[in-house]
Amino acid sequence: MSTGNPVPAPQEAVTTRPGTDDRHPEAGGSVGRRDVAPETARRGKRGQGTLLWWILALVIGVWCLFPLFSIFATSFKAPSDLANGALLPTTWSTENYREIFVGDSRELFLTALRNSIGITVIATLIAVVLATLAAYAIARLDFPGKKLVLTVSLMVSMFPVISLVTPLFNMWRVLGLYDTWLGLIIPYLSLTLPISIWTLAAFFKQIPWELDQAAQVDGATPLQAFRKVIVPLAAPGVFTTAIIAFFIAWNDFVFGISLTSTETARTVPAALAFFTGASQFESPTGAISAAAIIVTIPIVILVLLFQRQIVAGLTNGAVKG
Amino acid sequence: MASITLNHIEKVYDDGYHAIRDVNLDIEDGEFVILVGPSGSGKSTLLRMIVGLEDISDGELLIDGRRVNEAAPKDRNLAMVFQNYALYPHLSVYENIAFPLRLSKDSSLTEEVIDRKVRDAARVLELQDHLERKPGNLSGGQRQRVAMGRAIVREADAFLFDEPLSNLDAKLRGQMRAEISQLQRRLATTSVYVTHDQTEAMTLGDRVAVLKKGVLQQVASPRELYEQPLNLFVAGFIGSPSMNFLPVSVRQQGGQYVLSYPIGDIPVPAEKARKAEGRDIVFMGLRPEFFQDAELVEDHKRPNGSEFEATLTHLEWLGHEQYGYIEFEPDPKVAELLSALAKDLDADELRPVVVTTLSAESTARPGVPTRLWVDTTRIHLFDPETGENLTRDAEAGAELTRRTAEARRRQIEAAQARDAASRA
Repeated sequence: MSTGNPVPAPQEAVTTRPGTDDRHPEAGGSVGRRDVAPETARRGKRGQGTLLWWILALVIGVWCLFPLFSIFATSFKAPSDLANGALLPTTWSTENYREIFVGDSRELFLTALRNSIGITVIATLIAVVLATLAAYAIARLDFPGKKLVLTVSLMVSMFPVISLVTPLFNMWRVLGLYDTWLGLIIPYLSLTLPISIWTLAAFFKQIPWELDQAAQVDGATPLQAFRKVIVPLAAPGVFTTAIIAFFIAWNDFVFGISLTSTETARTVPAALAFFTGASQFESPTGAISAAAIIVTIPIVILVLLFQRQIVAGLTNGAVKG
Repeated sequence: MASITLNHIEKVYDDGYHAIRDVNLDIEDGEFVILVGPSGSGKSTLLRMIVGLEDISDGELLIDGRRVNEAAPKDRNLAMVFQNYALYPHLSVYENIAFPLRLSKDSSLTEEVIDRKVRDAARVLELQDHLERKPGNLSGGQRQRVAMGRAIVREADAFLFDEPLSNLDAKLRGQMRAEISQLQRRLATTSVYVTHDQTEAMTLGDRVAVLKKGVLQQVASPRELYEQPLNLFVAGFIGSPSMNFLPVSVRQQGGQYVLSYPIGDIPVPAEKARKAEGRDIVFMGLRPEFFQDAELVEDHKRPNGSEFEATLTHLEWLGHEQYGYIEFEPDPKVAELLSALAKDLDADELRPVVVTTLSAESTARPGVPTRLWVDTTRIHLFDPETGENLTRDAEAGAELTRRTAEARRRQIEAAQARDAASRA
C-alpha cells in the first residue's frame, strides 16, 4: 500500500540502469520479434483504410474541382475558341481579363466588385457581432423565450429566398432602400444571422462554464471574464462563422439582381448577368468566366489566411484531459 | 485570513427544489473544514454559495463579520480550486497563476511584484520548470498544482476546494492530499473543502461537516465523528468498512442486560442498555474493528467485551488484516428498517451482513463455527425511528474536538516556525 511498486529482484535491479525504460533492445529480443508480426498486420490494415479514404477524397475532389477548372480554362480562351468543345484553350489568351479590367466591361465589373466587397464585409461584421452576443446569451443564460429565438432564427433561414424577394422589392421601393447598399445588407443579415447564431451557440456551449466562474472568483467582472477568457477561446469559432457568413453574402445572386437596378449597389454575381459580348451575336462566356475566377480569389485568400484560426480544439486542457 | 459564518443558510432553486436547509456553521480563522456527504447532499451547492456562484435564498453569510450575501464573487476575496481545475487553456502556466493578480486594481502590484509572487507560488508547488507551458500539455497532477497556484498567489481570505482530487489516480491523490494539508498549515488560511471521499475528510479536516439532503447532521473533529456520532447517518457514513447496524431487542437475563440479535445474544454493560429501555427494537452499531478472534484477544481487554460463536460466510485476507463476513436472516419487520437505512446512506441495499475486521494472524476459516469476541464498551445504540444515538457521550466528543483544535494551533505555529527558520 505504502510503496507503490513491487521491489524488483536484486539481479534485475542491477541490469536496469536508472532512467532507461525497460524496452532496451538487448533485453528480451524474442519478445520484441513476437510483437513485430501483429504490429505490421495492424499497420497494413490501417494502410488499406487510409488508401480508401484517399481514393474517396480524390473522387470528391475531382467532382468538385472539375467545373472550377473548366471555368478557369474557359476564362483563358479567345472568343473564337469558346464554342470548339475542347476543355483547354488552343492558345492561352488573357483577352477576357483585359475585357473586364480595362475593356468595355471594366466599369460594370469594377464598380460591382467594390459594391460586393463593401456590402459583404459590412453585413458580415454586423452579423458576427450580433451573433456572438446572441449566441453567448443562448449558451450561458436561461431566459424565457430562448427556444423561441432559436426556432425563429432557424425558420427564417428555411424560407426560400425567392419568396421573400417580391415583397422586399415593394417595401424597399416605398422605403427608399431599393438599389442602395443598406437595401442589400439587411436581407444579407437575415441570411447570415441564423446560421451564425447556431454555429456560435454550439461553439460557446463547448467552452466550460467553469472558466467563466473561475475568472469571476479570480476577481473579474462578468465583462472582463468574457473579454479575457471567453473571447480568446471563442476566436476560432468566431472566425469560422465570419467566413461562412462572408460566403453566403458574397455568393448571393437573387437579392443582388432583384433589389438593385444600377451600379450604385449591384454586386458581382448580379453584374455578371449584365455582361455583353463584343457584338450581340457573341456570347460573353469568356468574360463571365474571367470574372467568376476573379471573385473566387478573395474567398480562397480568406480561407488560406484564417486556416490557422479555424483550427478548433483550443479548449483542450481547460478541463481534465 | 478570515472567519466564515453561515447563519440559517437556505437554498431553494427556481424549480422549488430545497437544496440547503437551515445550515449554521462557524468556521474559525485558519481552520480547515470539510463538507462531506453522499451525492445530492448539497455540499457543492453550499460551497458555491460561500464563493458567490450561487445565490443565497435565505439566511446570512458573513466573512470576517461582514455580510456578503449580495457581494459578487470578485468582491469576496476568496480563492477556489475547481473539480476540473478550470485552467485557462489559452494562457501559459505563468499567466494562469498571474491571472488574479493582473485583474487586481491594487496599484502596488507592479510587473516586478507580480513576477516575484508568481515565482514564489511556483516554487512552493514545484512548477518552476513548467511556467511557459500551456495547461493542455501538463499531466493531471501538474494541472492540479497550477490550479492551487492560482489560488495561493493572491493571499485570499479563504481557500475553497470543490473535490479537487477526484480526477487524479489513487497514488497521486494521496500525495496531493498530503501537500494540500501541509500547504494549508504553512499558510494558515481558512479552508473549506468539499469531498465525498472520507479518507480525505478524515485526514485533512480539523472539523468535518456531514450533510444529508441539505441538512447539516453533525460538525465535529474526525475523531468525534468516528467515536461519538450524533446519529445513525453519521455513524454509517463515516468509517470504512462502515459500521454494522443490527436490530436488537434489550432483555434482562439473570440480572444482566442482554441484547438479542440475529446472530446471537450479547451481554452489554448496564449503562448502555438502560439508554435503550422502553423501546421495542433499537439499532446496535458495531464498528468492524470491535470484533476480534476470541483466541487472539489480549487478556486485559477481555473483560470489556463478550464472546459468541458465529460462522463466517466469507473471508477476505488483506495482508495486514482480514475482513470476515457473517450473513444473517433478518425478520421482515427489521428488513424494512434496514432498507430505509440503506436509502439514507445512499446505498442500493443494506445487505443483512456483519463485517468484522479480524487480525491477520487469525486462523478463522469460513464455514467453520468460530468463537469471536466483541468489545461491548464501545457499541452505540440508535433509535430506529429518529436515528438518534442513544449512547452518545457528548462531553467525551467535545473533548476530542477541543484537542483537535489545539493540535491545529500547534501545527500552524510549528509550520510557521519552520518557515521562519528556513528563511533565516
